[in-house]
Amino acid sequence: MEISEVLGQFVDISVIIGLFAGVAFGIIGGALPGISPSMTIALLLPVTLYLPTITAIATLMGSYQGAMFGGSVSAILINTPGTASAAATALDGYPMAQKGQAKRALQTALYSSCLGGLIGTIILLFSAQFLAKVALKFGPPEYFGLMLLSLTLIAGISGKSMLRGIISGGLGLLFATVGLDPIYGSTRFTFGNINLYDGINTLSVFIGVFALSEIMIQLSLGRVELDKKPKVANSNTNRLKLKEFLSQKTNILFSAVIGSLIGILPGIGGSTASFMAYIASQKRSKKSEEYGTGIIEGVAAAEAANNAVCGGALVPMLTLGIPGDVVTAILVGALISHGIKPGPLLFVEEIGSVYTVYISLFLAVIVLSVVGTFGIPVFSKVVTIRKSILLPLVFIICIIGTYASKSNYFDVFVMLFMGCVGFALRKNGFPIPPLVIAFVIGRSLESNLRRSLILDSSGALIFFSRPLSAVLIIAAIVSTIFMVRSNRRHKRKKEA
Amino acid sequence: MKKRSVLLPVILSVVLMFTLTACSSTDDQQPSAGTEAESELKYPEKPIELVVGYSAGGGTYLAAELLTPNAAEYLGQPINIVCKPGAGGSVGATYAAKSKPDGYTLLYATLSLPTSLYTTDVEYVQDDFIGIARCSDIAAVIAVKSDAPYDTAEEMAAWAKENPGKLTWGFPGVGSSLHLTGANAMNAMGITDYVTEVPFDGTTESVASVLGGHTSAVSCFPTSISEQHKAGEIKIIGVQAKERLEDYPDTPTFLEQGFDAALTSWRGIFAPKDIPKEIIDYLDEAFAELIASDEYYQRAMELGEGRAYLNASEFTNFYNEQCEAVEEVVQSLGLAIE
Repeated sequence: MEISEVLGQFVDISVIIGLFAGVAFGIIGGALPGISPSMTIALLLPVTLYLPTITAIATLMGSYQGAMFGGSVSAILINTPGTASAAATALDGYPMAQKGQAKRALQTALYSSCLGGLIGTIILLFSAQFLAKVALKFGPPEYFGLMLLSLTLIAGISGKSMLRGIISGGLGLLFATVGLDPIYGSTRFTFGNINLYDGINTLSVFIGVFALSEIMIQLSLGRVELDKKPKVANSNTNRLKLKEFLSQKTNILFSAVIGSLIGILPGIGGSTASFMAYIASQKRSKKSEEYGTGIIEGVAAAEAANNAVCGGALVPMLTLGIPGDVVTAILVGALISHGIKPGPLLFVEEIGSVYTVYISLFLAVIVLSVVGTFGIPVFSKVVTIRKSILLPLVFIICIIGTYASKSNYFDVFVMLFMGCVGFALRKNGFPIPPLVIAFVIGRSLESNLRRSLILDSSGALIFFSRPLSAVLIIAAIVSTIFMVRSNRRHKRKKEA
Repeated sequence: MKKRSVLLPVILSVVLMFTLTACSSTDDQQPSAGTEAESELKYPEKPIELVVGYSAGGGTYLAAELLTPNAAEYLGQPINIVCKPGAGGSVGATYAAKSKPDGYTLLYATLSLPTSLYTTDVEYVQDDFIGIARCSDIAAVIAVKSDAPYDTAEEMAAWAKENPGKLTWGFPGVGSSLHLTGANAMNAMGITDYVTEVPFDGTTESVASVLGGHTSAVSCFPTSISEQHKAGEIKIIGVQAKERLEDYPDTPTFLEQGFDAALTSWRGIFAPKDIPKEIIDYLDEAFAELIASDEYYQRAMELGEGRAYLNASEFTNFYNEQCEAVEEVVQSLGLAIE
């Protein structure tokens, strides 16, 4: 089938309705904490089985892109990442909302998401088969190298004190060790509770340390402050100017490339991708010290990356038949039930179906920009609510969200505990982002380290006898040295 | 207006939460009970909760989901799937074991249920569950990259013995069904001491690792590699089943090749032990019809689940046999807890 023929099939009212409905449903699911993108799509799946193939694919791709953006809405407005991959968005998005620039933050998130999604799709379009081959080159040692490199970058977002950053990151790694040992299966720090066997629920950590600790800090401001009418910046500073957005183009491009490349690697996921893009963006930036205080650079990097993950994650799914994450696993199921079998033969036998997926993804991005543009004025009304009313509601959302993610009350208690941990750390000047990133990376870092050591009896040599992993690990070492040196220089400057 | 914009997400999340957790507490209207004789079974009067110990969207969830579209037709009430993921299904099984044995809470479990009895410090015991219906029976395979220097189980075993420690095989998660089936195959081939086990975080990673040449073999279900197999990237060493698979008529089983490995992974419906006999009979009959229906079969085929129905008493016996078989494998793997 020619691409023009496929394109023709999209000129159909049911396809367009499917796209809009999918995007809207995705945004809502993404924005609700506890409803992950995979759950959103799982909820849609039974409906799409009854739709014509093209409408079904369009609806699913729409909800995939919508959910990736939707998570940022609650991350920005109430510091509660709606999805795990929006956690990095909260780092700068929420401070922007605090400054009265909620609308500006949302607009940055939306248009960066769209551009990121577009770039991810283009990468998928032109190099899917090639990239899939590269992804297969990634064995356990390479994964370990990549994780190690991102871990060393944490130092960059430690704020003023590197020591405090390291302590916070160490705590994150410690939390990541809870659960079954990935290689021997023995229990660690589970206290005999089977709810901890799979480790601490990621969403409980995110919602606890971001949202709940924020509520506690706000409460400590006192009643008068909470009853005040919130300030909203005048419409001039609360609007994203075109010029401003265009100044982000390299930032967005880089972040989207990082996002889609990480997306290609099976099993890493959106939250790691957006954190990596965030850190990398900060490293490159001239005003790296302002990251975390509420600047559009941070929001743009995180959001461009997590929407670019969509295109990336489809690479191994379409070309190898290997879904990189839960969402693509569900998509495989959906495609198969419509008679499309993702795998190496798809590109040979059914190139028309491949085009269908690409075009759906493109259109989904366009529809997302439309739906988002109309949605933002509505969403941003949230910040005009007095805190004495908003905070209790946020607290309820925190509880419902963590419960809904696994229908388990235990996760709610973990979230409450994590909230207290986050509060104690923030009150004592420890930064939160290193903890969260170390927690996200920790498990995969450990399991890949140990898996590599099993694979080769020569021990640690395996990391250096393979070119890809050697490059990654040397990069990690070099970046650590640089970081320590620049940190010292800063200190000396201050002392002088 | 101001309030509504916040309330809306709250209300929506509550609504969505309830659709997801599918709370069974909503009392449905009583059927005209007055005229019924006392001895008649007043069941089911409200939706039945089917607990799945895995995440929404995963393989087990999708298989359980096959039961729902026609449930009301055969059972008289709809089935609500409740996902309680964690600890290889044990979180959901614990919840089901502790639930009221009134027939409104059932468990959808896999080979991991007997496994958890021996590998995990769980609060339930073997006899806490009664089988209601086996829904599927899936054969696992051992697959290798197509350029591997062996084609059959015998050749693979010989190669492993010549190159001790060189043959690495992956599977998703310690103590998972695929770990057990894979270890069972290695054991049958007599090469357990010559191969290296590599636990991965998921099926995807373990298959990708074979394709990338990082590990030599993988224990997986045929659906995970069907397209790779068709494209000639991967070859199957042996199927763990009593008979050859419909989709792979040319691939021999381990039994045919002279190795005693036929441990399959299965999925089925369980009830907590104290459930009344009448309710078991009712469910037994209803699920027999549901699973025999054409609609169910069609949906199941799309998902790669063949016919594997066993009725309540057959399935309970099967479950008890599996407990014994699994215990043996778990002991030989050194995974058993004291």
